[in-house]
Amino acid sequence: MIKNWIDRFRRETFTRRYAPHQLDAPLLALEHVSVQYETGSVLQDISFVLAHGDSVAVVGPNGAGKTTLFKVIAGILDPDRGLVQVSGHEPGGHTCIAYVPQRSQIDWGFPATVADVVMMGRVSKMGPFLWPQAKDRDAVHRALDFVNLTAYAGRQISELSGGEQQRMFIARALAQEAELMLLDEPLNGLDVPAQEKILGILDHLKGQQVTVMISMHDLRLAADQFNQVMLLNKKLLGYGRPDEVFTRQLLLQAYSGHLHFVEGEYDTLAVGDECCEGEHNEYY
Amino acid sequence: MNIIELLQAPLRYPFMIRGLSAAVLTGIVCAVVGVYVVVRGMAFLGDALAHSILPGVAVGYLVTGGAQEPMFWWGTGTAVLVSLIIGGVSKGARIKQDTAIGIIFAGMFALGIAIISTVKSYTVDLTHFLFGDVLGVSGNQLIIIAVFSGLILLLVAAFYKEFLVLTFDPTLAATLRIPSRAFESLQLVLIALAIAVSFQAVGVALMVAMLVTPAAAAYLLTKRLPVMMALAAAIASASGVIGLYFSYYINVASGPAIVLTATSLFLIAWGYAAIKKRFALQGDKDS
Amino acid sequence: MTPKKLFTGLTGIILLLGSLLTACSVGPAAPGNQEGQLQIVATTTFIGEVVEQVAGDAAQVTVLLEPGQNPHAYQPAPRDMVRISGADILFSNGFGLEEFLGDLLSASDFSGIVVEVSQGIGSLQIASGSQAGGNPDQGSGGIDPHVWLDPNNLMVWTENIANTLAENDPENEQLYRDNAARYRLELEELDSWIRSQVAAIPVENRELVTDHLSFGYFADEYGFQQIGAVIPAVTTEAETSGKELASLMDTIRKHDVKAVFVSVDIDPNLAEVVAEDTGVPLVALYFGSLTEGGPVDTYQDFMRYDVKAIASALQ
Repeated sequence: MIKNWIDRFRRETFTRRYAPHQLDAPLLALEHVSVQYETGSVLQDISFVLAHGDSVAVVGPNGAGKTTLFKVIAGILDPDRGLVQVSGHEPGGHTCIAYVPQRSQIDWGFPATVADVVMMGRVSKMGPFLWPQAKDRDAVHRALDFVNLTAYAGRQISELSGGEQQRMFIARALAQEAELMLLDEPLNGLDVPAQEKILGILDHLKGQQVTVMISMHDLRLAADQFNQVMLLNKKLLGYGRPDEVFTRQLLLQAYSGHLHFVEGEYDTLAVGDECCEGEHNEYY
Repeated sequence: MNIIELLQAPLRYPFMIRGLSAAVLTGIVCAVVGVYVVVRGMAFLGDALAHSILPGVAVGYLVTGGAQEPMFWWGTGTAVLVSLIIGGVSKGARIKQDTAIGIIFAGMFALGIAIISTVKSYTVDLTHFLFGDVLGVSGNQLIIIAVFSGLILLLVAAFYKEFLVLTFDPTLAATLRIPSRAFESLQLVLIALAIAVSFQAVGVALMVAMLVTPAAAAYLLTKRLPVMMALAAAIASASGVIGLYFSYYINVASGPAIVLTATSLFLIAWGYAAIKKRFALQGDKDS
Repeated sequence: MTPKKLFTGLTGIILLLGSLLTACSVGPAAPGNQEGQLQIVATTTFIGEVVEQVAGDAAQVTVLLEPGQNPHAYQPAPRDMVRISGADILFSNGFGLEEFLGDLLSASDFSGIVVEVSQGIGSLQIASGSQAGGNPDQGSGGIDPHVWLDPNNLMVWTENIANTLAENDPENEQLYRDNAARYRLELEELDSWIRSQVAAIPVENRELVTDHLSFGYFADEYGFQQIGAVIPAVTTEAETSGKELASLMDTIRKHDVKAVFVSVDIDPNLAEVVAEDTGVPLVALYFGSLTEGGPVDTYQDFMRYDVKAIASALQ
């Protein structure tokens, strides 16, 4: 156990900040990744490959391991088994991965402005003893522009609505110059206009060569907005085009009986059980 | 005696100037570090650390026979050690952090009192340990206080960004590959050093007030972190000076006088913030 | 082990320990009673010496304060209750020195008599907040308890102790009276020696600045003035304010004081501040107790040491 501590300490403190990117390697490659918590297995034997510029929606019920998967990819959590490669190297050395957390995880009473938070994304570009320079301020400005929050730069984060908070985090990820963005349920609790704003921004990102993985609950939205979807429930049940992945069989496997199919004239309606929160998914 | 004379009278004496300097320096350091304590909700940990110094100082007394400076080093060493232990314990143990800190706190404090009670020819006043004795600061001690204060403030300035990220969003810190464990430990060590430096002025029992009260007052007045630190430092310095003037003219121990002043300033800030809010609400209603 | 079993086990152990401890505390009193010997307890080492001198082998004397302890700061421990419980007579200083005594007596099962050996000594009062040793009947700051710094007061003690012992052990009365007379002669000799030492100090230098107002009786008897103290009170447990320290420093400068006398068994912190700021040296004196195997094992040594230190500092 002491050896684990020493290893982790050494790795955390002395890790190379900028792991070189292998140009011929895919942006993200997972091989047989498994994660075990004390309560049981959370991820089982996940393998997939993500290329530059891909945009993937990850869906699955609560407890499916979506957050855990993102943390493993971001290098925050170590898998118990398997290999994670970002541009050919372990995630630990990269600062080009942005993990956008669920909004409930943040202390919104913290004394900071929107600009302060977005500037935090630049910290890896600044060494110790250095303060924000002009280029950092420029990057923050551009990021805020991209998400239409320029007018909010000086506002306290405690005054932001849910949608604004989410856009601020995306701006932070942009300021970080992230190549891979992992958004953890960013659309939760947002009304439709706010959701559309976010999805619009993500659309623009596609043109910027930023790879995006986003987890969500709304199956129809996932199918409509994304060319690639991933169905996850501890195991990787499907990865590919929506019509390939969202089959009745796979959906049943994922949601294990908490989904009912109602045959209609043209469409099949998949309706979630009342037992699972937020599972009102309408599909097809 | 008019007001000017009242203010000037103590300044003719070197020991008062030393005392005022010590009070101001320790006030600033505790306030700046205290901003982290308040924002992260670590007041209990701060209190525990302060009380945990006692056995270290007591052992230092036993070993050196009561010399002031060795006791300071023993106190500092103990504080740093305990801060790292608490940091380690609260990371992965099965007991909640709250409980772990409580256990360590009470145990260490009791150990200190026990050691002190076994010393038969005890010549250092326990009340000075508990409540401070800023009048007794010697020239050498002031130099040590100044050096350590400078060091602490330098480290806070140097790693300001890293501490900011770590405090606000530890996950971001992890993705930016900021060595979180090391910086968490550093933050705890800075708190420990601030406590060790302020021990002489305020004593163990009231240390938590120096960490928390000025920062809490500043939090009511501003929501920008750098401004909060500057304001807290100003409030703490004012408390130190005013408190010392009080304890000069009235026979009150320095620690309580300073803390009572800081608390009064907090209440004023609170009142101001409440009134401001009331007017803002009125304004909204009218418009 | 189930939580229930654990809890029951712990309760059982606690009850067992509790009853054992209670049984021990009401057990037999202090052992070792030699046939016929009086069992005497004295609070301070000074009283202890006088009792030993007067009683000789006829009594067994224990002293509560250990060598090197400050009587103002003394906190009694359980072992003191044991010492007291078997005693016939308890001699205390009186004049407010032993603040702890009342509680100690009521808590222990002491069934003997308590005698304040300072009865009959003209007490000195301290005006509250003042810097000088007071005249009798002046001021309300409390009675100065430091009677032992004047051998003449010890002579009063000797008298009182001899009377008490004679009353309680008439068989040995002659022994007590003889010892008392002999000891009084020694004290008178000490007194003349002190006067000769003091005579060598120029009159204008006979000013004392001490760590607290401890030399009242000495000053009164031998012609000194207590012009200031770091803690201007009759006990070391008082607090001082910045203003009082400041005015002490002014006094020191005004009177061109040569030394500040500090007891070895108190916290020198504030005195060191005074020394640092005024440039006046600190001189260590013994004050609260005799030593054991040290420089001042007897009262004679004690007074001679202190007076020599004072004389050489002030000349």
